[in-house]
Amino acid sequence: MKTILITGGAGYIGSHACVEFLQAGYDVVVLDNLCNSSPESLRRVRELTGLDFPFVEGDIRDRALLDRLFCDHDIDAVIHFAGLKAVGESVEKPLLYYGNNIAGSVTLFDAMQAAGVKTIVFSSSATVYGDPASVPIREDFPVGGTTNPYGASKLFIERILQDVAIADSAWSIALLRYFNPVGAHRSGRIGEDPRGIPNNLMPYISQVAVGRREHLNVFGDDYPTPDGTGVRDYIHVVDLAQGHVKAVEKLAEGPGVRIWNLGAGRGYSVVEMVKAFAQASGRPVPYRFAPRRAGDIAQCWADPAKAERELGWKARFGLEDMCADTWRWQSMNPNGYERNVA
Amino acid sequence: MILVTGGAGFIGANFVLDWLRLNDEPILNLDKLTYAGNLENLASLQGDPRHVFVQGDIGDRALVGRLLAEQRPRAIVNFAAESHVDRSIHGPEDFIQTNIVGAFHLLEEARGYWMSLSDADKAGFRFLHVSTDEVYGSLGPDDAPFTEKTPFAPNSPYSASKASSDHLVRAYHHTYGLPTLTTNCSNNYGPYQFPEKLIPLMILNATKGKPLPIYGDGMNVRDWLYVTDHCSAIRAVLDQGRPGETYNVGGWNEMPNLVIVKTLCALLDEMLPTSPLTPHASRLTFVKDRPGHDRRYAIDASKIHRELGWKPAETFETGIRKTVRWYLDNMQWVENVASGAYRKWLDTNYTTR
Repeated sequence: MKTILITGGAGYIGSHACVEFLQAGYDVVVLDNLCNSSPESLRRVRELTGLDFPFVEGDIRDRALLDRLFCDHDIDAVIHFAGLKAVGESVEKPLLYYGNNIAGSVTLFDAMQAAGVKTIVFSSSATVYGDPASVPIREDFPVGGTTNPYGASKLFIERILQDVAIADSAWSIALLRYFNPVGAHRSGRIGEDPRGIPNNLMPYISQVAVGRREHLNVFGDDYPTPDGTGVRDYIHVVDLAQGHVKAVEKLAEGPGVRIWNLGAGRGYSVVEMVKAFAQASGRPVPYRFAPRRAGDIAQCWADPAKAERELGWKARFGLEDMCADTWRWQSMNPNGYERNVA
Repeated sequence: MILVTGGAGFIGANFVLDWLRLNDEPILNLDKLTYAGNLENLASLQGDPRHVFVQGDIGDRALVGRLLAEQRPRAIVNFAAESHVDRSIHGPEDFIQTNIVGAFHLLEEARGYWMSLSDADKAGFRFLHVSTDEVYGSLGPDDAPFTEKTPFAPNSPYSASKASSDHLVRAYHHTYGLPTLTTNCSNNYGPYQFPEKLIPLMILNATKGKPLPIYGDGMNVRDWLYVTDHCSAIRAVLDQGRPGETYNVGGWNEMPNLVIVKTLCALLDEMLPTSPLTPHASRLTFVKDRPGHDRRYAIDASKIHRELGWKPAETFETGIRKTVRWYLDNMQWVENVASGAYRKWLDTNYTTR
């Protein structure tokens, strides 16, 4: 296991994964169509690691490009991040999401099969569990009941990979179900750079703190949780990225499909996050309560025991680090990558 | 993993606490958190990964089905029920809904889940239904105690609702083969009992200098079972009980209500020697008997002793002493449960008498 193809490697989690794989001694090739990311992130990955790697600008739906890529590079494993990820947008544009995420993934897997590359780590999501009745969530919980095309696309791709493994037992497949990735690299050089209005809590909070937005809307203050606001499992993106390195190491042990939750194993409420962020940033984070959002669940956190047992991986960074690192990134790059190309 | 329903209530919470004190098998606790369910009872389990709590109704089939699929318990212990006879007289509806319809829905989901199990897991699965000796009706002073063969003769909406669910449980065994177990217990007492029931109500009133209302002549006889003993009996039945069987659980302590209250007062006099309210028994007042008040229950718990080797560890003397001590040491708990709704309910029940 030496050369890793990282699809979507210029994105938020992808760029952090590049850093961790490079630092762990792997050779990395990045494929990204830059539809929702900036090549600046890759420049900064090179700067942070002092290591160079090839970048192929292109789309996973472009079969010819994939064939060329697998021909040009001797890829041992693929880390598949490439995909669209905005839940709300996916409801408005289901064909865009299914086309990108599912058709794109099928094209990628087919090109891998043709090239004889049969090791893949897939970037899945806790959304595949739908609305769990109990927490913490274990990997053996039933999946399904996703409420939007984004979630459905993750669920379907998991299923496709499981079917691929049934048909061809040579595949080594890891399905990593992420909880809520937050934070940024400690250097403050790479981080999450959403275009437009952020869909996720943490970038929204940090944009409020930096003054880009007036206040945060907290959707629902009447959930059956300690303070009435939704509780989620937040996982530092560097921990998450390291989970991928561990997963690739584990896949080297043999074929099959393996599923791991990547979460911290504890939940924080929206209000707890806001308070922690205000503390870490020294900035006020004004918020207002708004009605619940359709499809949001009260609470969700991982049972990360399987990942700890099998991968020797567990989240190391706590809430303070998540907030401090997010704030460092946000304050050093108030407008993300685009307008700060130094 | 076992699923415990009603695990935030009095007996359920004691069961959960004892279970996790004695072994590491996790508990999935499903409780609706009605007035009688109180998460404060389980405060010591905060952050304990062996305890998974879910607020919900046993009659919510989607929720129960999903929980069974997620957690895959090897057994269900059904404590969830409306349990206070006086409440069943003023408003039987909740009793019918939870105790009968809820139990039916729980049985249906349990059956569906059980059918999906492998043969080995199917054979090992248990559905334990916790019920009451009140299903057997009332006894005259010289009648023999209830055995498992005594015909059902429930007299209150509460006992009728429990008798009904007992029959459903029996039917699910005989019709579908679901490995069910039923326990019929006598009056429980001990820590965490909601202060609407005789013993905690009297302790609470006595320490506040309030009247101690006694129904009728106070000679209604009950068998008293210390809750920890009840929990050990349920564990014994769950472990070794024969599917399809019912087991009576009793404390071997028949006692008229008046003696109970006088004993409590004497213990309070002893434990609070400087209290200006001593002697506490001076506030005993007799109030009009409640309708359908069964005169005597007595339970023959020899089957569970004979077949499973279970006997209560506490006598009434040791159990009641522990109970009074617990309430005196946990007055904050008592204050916290004495909510507005609870006081309002007490008013409608006792001020008009």
